[in-house]
Amino acid sequence: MFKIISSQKNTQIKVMLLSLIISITSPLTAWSDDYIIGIKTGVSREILDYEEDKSNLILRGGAVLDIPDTFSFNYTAIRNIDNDTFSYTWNLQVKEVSGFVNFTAGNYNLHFGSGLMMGRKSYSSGDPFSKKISIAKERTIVPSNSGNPQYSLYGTVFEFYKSFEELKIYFIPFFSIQRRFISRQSFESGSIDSSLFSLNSKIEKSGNNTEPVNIINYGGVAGLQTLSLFNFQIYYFETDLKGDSGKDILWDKNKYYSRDGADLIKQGGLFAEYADNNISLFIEPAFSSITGSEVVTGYAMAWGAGIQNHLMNFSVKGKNSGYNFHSEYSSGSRTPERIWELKCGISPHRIFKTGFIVYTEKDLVPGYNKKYIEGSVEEEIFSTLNTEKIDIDMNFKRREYYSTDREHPINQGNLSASLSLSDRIYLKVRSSAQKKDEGISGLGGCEVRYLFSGYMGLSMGYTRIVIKGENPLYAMITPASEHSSITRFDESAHGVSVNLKYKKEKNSFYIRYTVTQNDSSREGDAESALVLFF
Amino acid sequence: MKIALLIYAAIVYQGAFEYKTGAPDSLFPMQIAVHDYSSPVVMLNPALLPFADGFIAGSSAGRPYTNEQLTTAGSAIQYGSGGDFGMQFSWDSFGADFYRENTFSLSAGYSIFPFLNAGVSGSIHWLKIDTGEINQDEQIPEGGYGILFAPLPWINAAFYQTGIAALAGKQNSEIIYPERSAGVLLKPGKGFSLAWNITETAALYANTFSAVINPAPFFSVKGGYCRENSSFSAAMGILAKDSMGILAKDFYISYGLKFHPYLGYTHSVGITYTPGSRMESLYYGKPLFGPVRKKININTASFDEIKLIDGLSLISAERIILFREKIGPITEKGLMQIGLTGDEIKNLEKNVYGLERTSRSKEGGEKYTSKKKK
Repeated sequence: MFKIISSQKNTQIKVMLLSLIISITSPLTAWSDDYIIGIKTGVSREILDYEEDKSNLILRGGAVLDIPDTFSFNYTAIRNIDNDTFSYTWNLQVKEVSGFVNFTAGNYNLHFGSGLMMGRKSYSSGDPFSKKISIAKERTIVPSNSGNPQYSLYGTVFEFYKSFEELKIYFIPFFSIQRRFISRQSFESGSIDSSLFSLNSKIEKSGNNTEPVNIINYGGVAGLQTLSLFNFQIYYFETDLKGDSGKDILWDKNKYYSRDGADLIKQGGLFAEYADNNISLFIEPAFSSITGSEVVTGYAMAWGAGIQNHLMNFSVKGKNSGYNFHSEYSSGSRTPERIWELKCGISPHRIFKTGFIVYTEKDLVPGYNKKYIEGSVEEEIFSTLNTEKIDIDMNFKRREYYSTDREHPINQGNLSASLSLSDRIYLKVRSSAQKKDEGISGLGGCEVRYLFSGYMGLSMGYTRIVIKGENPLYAMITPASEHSSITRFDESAHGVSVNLKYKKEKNSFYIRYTVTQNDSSREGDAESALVLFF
Repeated sequence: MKIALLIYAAIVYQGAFEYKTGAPDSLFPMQIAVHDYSSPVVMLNPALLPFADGFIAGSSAGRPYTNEQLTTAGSAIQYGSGGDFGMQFSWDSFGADFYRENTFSLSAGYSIFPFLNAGVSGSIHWLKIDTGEINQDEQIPEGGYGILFAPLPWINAAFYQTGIAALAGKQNSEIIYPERSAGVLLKPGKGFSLAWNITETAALYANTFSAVINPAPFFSVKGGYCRENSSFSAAMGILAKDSMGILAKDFYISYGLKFHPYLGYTHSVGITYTPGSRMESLYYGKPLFGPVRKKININTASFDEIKLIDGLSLISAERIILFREKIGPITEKGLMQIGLTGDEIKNLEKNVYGLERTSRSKEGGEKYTSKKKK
């Protein structure tokens, strides 16, 4: 793998060798169909810290041992080449012990209900159109295999379950202890200003952060599922921060719910859902009780209803928080907010669908380092046409902010079309235009993909981005990266990318090289990944 | 007193009677030209009255913007022939103890042609303010007219003009703002409609969008959005039928929730007596609330049961039976061996249970999947 950075005056060539050392030792030949061993390695550009909008060059390697329905072990290590840091995640799962216990140890994520109180974090870029309602269903226990321990819990989780013919009941207790580092001054004063979310990134001693502390989470969820139609969960967990000696450390000092900070958070909720082929309904009331110099209790509710048939689909979802509500491990915002989302789609013919989405969010307290309360509304109209030979997606979006401190409305239109020219050749074209104030920025791109066989494909693409005024565009150079999210372009640029991909069953290889050139510099980036199972 | 002065300032600036009916099914606190009429609702545009089917009488009450002093109330009696003509008498009230707007309206609509309805309304607006410092008691007659064009069964386009006396330049133009609204209603399928209206109010041109779905013949759900003030609204109604037992029959009970990002929530409830009324519901192709996703045990189900699984071909169903007969309980790996793709297996797993795990072969007598080498 190599990376080239050049500019008009100065050209710097930085070459890094990616060493893929694959050691297949003799014992592996003993494994057969019942045992799967795999290795994965690669280099990519990714965003690791969700509070930053900056991607880093990441070297990744890992190994998997899987005995289906019995045991699995996963180890992933990453080296951040830009920051020269190293981290890893691992997890071990023992499944179906005595027919009623699953056990997971290591790095894992939990997702209770719709993620209102406990859910897997997802990265939200600065793209004004990337913010969406965070309410979603996921598996309750999700082992973390990213190599980045920042956003996963670390400890043990059991799942006790009993399945009947049309009913499953379960209880999942968990314990997590995440070691992080704070400054000596903060440690001695017994409090930090930052949130646990920010503290989560301090996974190593660095600079002033030399004193180890432990973020402790424990609790559980009990649930019942019938016929895949009804799903109930009740959960409770507590969050604490302590030094090694057991010394209490307060966090979130001077925050909206407490001036002295939080010493302990108790969080709980109920989730009830009905879902069949046509109708889905759910409701999740929850509470947070923060113990600091006083006890502050807040409430929130996530809810949703949807209906669909062959002709239409309609759904409305929302989240309503009280002013004192705080959810440190929510999949969405940690602070109180009001969110509505309304979606409606009509499909008058099986190949055509059109509809609209309206999404509005309003914070109840100012965000981190902000003095005003944010709020915005996004409207979207979309249409899709899907035939055997051609797929067309079209949408028009508008985001408008409630707060006068924020930018003016942003309008964006997108059009993409995929054509199947033959069994082996595919063409994809896309274009975007974004208007903000008087500036109109735009994007045009095309991509050709050739399939050598059912397993291997080569894609090549060109993207032109034109930026006018203070109107940055969030875009990807096509063909898109498998890892990094979209990039912010503040000035006009050309981009060329080539991508070779092989995938057969679980084995895959992928390499992508991209060159981006703007007025002042040219940057080349390569990324690759290899996954082998034996 | 503060709220009294604010309301009075609003009247001086924009006029009174801006806040329209507070009935739950009325998704927006403003006049709109066309709306869904598949459930028993108060018709806002008299040109819609010919669509009323039979007699209804109802009342509603609400609390705008969760303000303890503000209330709304209303009642209506309506009769329609279900196509030719209809009429309605309604009363709406909005305000607080010291400020009250009452509107009494009589409306009638007639179908001139099968594709064209027209309607007129006459109203008495009664404004009463008594704050000690400000006293006003005034009754203002007003009128309005509406037209509805329905070229096809699935599309209605309508226009509604209120305050025609104020429009003609009478003195009450300082209190009554003549509003006009135009809109389109689409009914792409049974029990489902979409509406878009543009209404000129004293403050702005408001674009309102609404969707109404009747998931069942006794249940209606409505959602609305006004893009100018980013407000959302939702309403639901239940039509009590004989079969429901617990409720008196022929009553339609509704609840509405409106959300304005700055002013807060508005709650409202309504009850309507509607003898013989029916609601057209969505078409699903199979009974609603039936065992649409009841899972079957793939290792004990008959061929007839398996072949009915959505997305599973007849050949695959035959192979599953053959696998069971020749090899043993069906497994995930077995499904792959008989040629099912990953997507087909995922779909199958949604509809069945009892798939034998591959590793269970160690426990079960037959080693049909265990190939572990030594």
